[in-house]
Amino acid sequence: MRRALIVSCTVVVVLVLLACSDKFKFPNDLPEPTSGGSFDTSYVLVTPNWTSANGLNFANPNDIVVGYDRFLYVCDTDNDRIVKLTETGEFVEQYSIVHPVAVTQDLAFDLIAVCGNYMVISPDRTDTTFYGNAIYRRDHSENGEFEVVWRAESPYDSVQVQGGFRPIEAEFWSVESPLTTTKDYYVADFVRDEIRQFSGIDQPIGTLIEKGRGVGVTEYPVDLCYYEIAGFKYLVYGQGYGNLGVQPLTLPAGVPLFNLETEADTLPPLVRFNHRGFKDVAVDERSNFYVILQKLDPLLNANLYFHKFNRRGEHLLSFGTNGSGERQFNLPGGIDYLDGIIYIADTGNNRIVRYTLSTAVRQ
Amino acid sequence: MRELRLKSEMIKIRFMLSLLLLLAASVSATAATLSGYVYDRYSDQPIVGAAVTIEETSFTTTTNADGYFVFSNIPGGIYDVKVTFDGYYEGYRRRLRLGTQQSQEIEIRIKPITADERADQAQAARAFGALAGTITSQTSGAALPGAVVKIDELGLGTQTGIDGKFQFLRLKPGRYTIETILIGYKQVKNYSVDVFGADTTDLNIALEETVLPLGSEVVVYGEKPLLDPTVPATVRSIERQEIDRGAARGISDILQELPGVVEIDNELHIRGGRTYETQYMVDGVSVTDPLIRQGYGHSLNSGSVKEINLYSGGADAEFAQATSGVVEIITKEGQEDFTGSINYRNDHPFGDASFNTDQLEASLSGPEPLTTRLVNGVGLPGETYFFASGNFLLTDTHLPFSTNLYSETFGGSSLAPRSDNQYSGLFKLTYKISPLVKLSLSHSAAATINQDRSILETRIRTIDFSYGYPFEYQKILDDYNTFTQKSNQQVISLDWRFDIHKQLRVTAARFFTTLRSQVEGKNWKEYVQPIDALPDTVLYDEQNDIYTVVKGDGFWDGGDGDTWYDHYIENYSLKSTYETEIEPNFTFKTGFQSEFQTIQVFDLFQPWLSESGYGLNYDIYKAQPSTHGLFIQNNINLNGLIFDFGVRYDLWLVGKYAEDAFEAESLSVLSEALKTKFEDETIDLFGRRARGTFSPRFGVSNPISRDLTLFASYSRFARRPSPQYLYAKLYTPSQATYQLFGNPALDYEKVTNIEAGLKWLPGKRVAVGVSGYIKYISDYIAATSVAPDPRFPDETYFLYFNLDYATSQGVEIEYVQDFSDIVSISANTAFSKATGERSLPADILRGLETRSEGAIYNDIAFDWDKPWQFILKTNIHVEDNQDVSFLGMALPDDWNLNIKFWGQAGKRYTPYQEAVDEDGFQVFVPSGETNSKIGPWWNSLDFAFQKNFRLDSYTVTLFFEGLNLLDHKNVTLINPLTGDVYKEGDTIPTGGNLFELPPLGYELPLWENPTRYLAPRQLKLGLGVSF
Repeated sequence: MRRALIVSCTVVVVLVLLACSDKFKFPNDLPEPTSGGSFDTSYVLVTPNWTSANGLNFANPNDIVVGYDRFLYVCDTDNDRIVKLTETGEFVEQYSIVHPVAVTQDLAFDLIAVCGNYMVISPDRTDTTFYGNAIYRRDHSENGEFEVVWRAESPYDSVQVQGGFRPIEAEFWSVESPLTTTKDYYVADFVRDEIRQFSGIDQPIGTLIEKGRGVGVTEYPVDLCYYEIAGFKYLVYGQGYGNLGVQPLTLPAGVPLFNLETEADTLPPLVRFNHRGFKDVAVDERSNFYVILQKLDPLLNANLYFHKFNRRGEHLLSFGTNGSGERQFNLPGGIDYLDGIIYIADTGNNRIVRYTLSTAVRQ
Repeated sequence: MRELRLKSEMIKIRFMLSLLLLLAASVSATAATLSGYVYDRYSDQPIVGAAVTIEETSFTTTTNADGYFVFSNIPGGIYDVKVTFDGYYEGYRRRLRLGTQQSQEIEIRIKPITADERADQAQAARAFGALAGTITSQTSGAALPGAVVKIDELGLGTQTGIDGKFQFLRLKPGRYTIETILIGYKQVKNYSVDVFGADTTDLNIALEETVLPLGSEVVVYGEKPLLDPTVPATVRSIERQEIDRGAARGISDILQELPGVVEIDNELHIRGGRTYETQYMVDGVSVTDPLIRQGYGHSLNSGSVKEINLYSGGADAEFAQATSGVVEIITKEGQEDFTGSINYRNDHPFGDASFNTDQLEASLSGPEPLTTRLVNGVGLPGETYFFASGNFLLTDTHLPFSTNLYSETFGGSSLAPRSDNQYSGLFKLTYKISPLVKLSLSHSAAATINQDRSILETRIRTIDFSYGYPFEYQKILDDYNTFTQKSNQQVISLDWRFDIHKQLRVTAARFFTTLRSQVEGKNWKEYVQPIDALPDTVLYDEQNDIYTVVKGDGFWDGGDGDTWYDHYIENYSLKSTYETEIEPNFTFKTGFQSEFQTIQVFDLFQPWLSESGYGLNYDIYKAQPSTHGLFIQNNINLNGLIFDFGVRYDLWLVGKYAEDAFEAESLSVLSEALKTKFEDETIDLFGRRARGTFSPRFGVSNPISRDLTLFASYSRFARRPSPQYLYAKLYTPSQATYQLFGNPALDYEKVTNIEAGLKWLPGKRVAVGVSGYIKYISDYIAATSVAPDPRFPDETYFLYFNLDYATSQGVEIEYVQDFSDIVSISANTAFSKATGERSLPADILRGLETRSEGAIYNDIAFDWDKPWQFILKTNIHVEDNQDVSFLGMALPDDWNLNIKFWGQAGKRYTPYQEAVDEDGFQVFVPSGETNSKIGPWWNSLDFAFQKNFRLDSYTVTLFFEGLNLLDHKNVTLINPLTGDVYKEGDTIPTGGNLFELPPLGYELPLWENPTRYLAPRQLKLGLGVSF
């Protein structure tokens, strides 16, 4: 009996040992045990970060835009190029342009770009070339390079620059296509404090939003973002003195979609910052607003770069301290949204980062 | 570390071996002599010619002129000695202990029967019946003394005298099961033996000799009662013959035919319970895997199954960890005859009714001469027998799963040629050492490779989660996860009968199951986020020089699945039961059970997120809980009135991993209050914390007439929570918003089950069973939102608690009738209602509502609640050489046709309606209570036809089988706006309740989801050979 049991058990033991090899071994680099935290809704980094395209590291990328064709366009500012990427960051093409800071795409797939306050002073300081007072277009049908399609001609004002004053009649910081068949577009003129409208053949049509501080006017506009809700079109504009404005492009009949403070106010400033660091805005399909500041100012309680508001202007969440890690930025310049992903041009860190909501449910 | 683990394994193995060897060492046989005298109790005169028998043995003799008797060469042991003599009552000397080489003399005094008593007996004989007969040897025809004859229903037993005769007097008229047992002979069961008043039923039985252990072979005469009236609970058995006659299917398909069992989304729910509440056992060893949704971690093929028992009502105290039912699978074992079979089925010839299925089942069993020679060669007695079976089922299913699966843990792509690939095998060696001792060794293994994501119990089921099909990955299924489930089980079992009435069973087992889910064998660091990337359409308007971009269609166009997952569970268990028949009508059973478990989980969700390298949400833990249980179970039969009562006590040690979590100061999810609660509710056991619980069980059955038996039972069950509710994310909080944290302070879930019913057998071949039940479930696990620090009310998270209550109640009716040897029908129906506050512990995410502990209880119907169901079955069986005609036309012989039609209520859903919010946006709001509506009803007509052709000792069988013959569209995805299946052009309501509506922005055409219906018609042909 005893021998029988020994033989039997030996067989079982062999089977057991053979079967033990199925066990998965934990990796060596497991995260350290951490504390709980709040587990509230937040944004989580989508890895990897994009730091280069076509073999060239990004250099002060000032903007990232989701094109009408659903490709991504990065204004790789200091590399003097606009880079076309897929949603997953794969390089498609690049276009040469001096110091681009903003770009948009119209229904013809043409790219329209502006260059901010960029200028080049000649070594002898006798000549200055301005790039920010012009509008650049890349004609999709011709498949060529960017060309200047409009430039301000008459002096409007002057600003102090190193070595003296320079005349300037425009300084374009942002451009946005409302995706109309006429291919009109809007340009934020930071110096003239107005949002100007151009035709599809790059001719000024007029001023959409005029200079002023208050409701329905603008001061130091730095960014534009067009969006639609329930068939109505809006343009949200960020202003250098620290707020957002919404300009309905087609006014809804009856009750306005937004809860206005007074019914007489058709152009309410939805959000106010006590800070001038506002830089860029994006809107998602549910008309939530995503805002980034370019600079932090603890004295003014501006401690985080990223802010999200709902369509009524109610603050939802903020994140982004200064640095180069996860949920950190360094002078970010551009932001856009596509299919649940926030794309941010983290200018000072020379990278494009992506964030998504932490609310995905495991299934 | 590895050495430590190996050492730990070896310690466990040594422990098992030591126990078994200890038991074996105590087996010994010695000889003794017993002598004595038999006297009249009153006159002290010696009785001459009295028959003296040592019960359960063949020792029998008669007294001489001095009333003296003697037995020699009796093996040491404990015996009952019986004396019979005409005109006297039987006399006994109970529990006589005979030691090694001992001589013992005893005295037995027997009481004479008075004249009055004789008169009473004569009168009683007219009101009662009697049963009498002779037990003989089939080989020699000689009378067999010492055979035990029992009447199961009445708990009566007697032993044959020296002439092989037995008799039972004063029997209530009725239909009885007579069991005859004698060591060295095959056990015999005579079913449906009728006893009438004022009459003696003759029953003569010839026993067949065998070398096999007692009870290994049972010879059956008569028809087994269609319902067993002696069991005071609902226990349903499916035997081999019934499995063979139906269409080839898995064990879960077989279980679904029973009332009270419902399958939704590949999950079995028994009497309204959650899936994880069911205990699955193979050969007495738990194979439950609480981390997979189906619940059972060991998918054996039905070909290796001898019998399946479902305990859906009360169950013996032997069973633990089952609050919703016990599924007991008993595998086959080898016998004296050499048998084998091989069956192959496929559905290829049937066009639209084909899922590209191939299925092969093979088995072989019989004596195993090599091992027998080996053990005999080293001087050991006995013989060995083997049973081996193997099975594969390869199918593309009716869903468009990938056909390019890759399993890193099981054969790469070579073993995964189809969408669903299942393999299983069993090898069992039975060493029959003596007529009283049997040792069994078995090794079984199973593996499944597919893309059914519903297997992961740790995931929640959103509305489009139907049947685990990853609809959003439909265009890139090759880039979706492959799920590989593997399991193996080793069981060593010793059955040791001390005699006919006493039995010890010791089972030591190891069960291992693992599940891996990954994309194409990739490491999680290689995962790419899925994208609905490129526009499907770009149209150019030349006249206006504009493009129209059509957005992506909502399906992922590139990227990988969202999960990298691996878990394993390894169980070492030791179980021992001892059963003794103290009196013919009193059985006592006791035992203990210990289980040592290792659970390891590595679960990453959306690995491309976060710089941690472990994704948006991850869960990594390895815990080692253990459980220990003691039970006693008694069965008393008072002339047909049967009492079953038992109690078990369980101890559960949650393990060091969880205990340490209370001490880790950096882990803020477990508050001081929880720690205090844990310490208050547990006891110290060898330095670890243990939690105990009592579970009493009680049942009674009472035959109120010849045909009708009433029964009732009250049972308490306790179940320790599944691992994810205890250990999840204790040390691994991530950035995800909806994280559900384990709580090691959880208590058992508890169920009180009350059942009552009747079993009516108005004829030998007709039976009706009705049972009503109500289950009260308390301390049901549910997650809720907690704010650990009152200073920061916004800092909340979800933690599991024993929070919920639920009830399940219903009525089940069965009707079975054999119209003849050829045609039989059965029908069953069930009406039930299972309600609670929430269907599943993770339902806190349902609408993301929150609820604090102690809030008012509010009933909703559970997701899987089916108010009604029915099954109608007919079986037509024509034996070989049996003459059968139909409408005057002669039919061929040797075939079987099984037809089944089942129907049940449709799936529950919450009705919704369109509305407009304050901003003018279209929204969808509930228009009724949660799960208050029921979708279109489900039904299916299935059949299985078998025709045998006999060729000498071989039988060739032709199979033709069909499922859902009428191709009924059984709706699983219900549009809550219409109450019907999603149809093209329907508005797809969206919203925040992921369990009931797709999320905002959902764009997939749900009317194209192939899981919106259950499987369509499938036809299969097959061929088999057996001998």
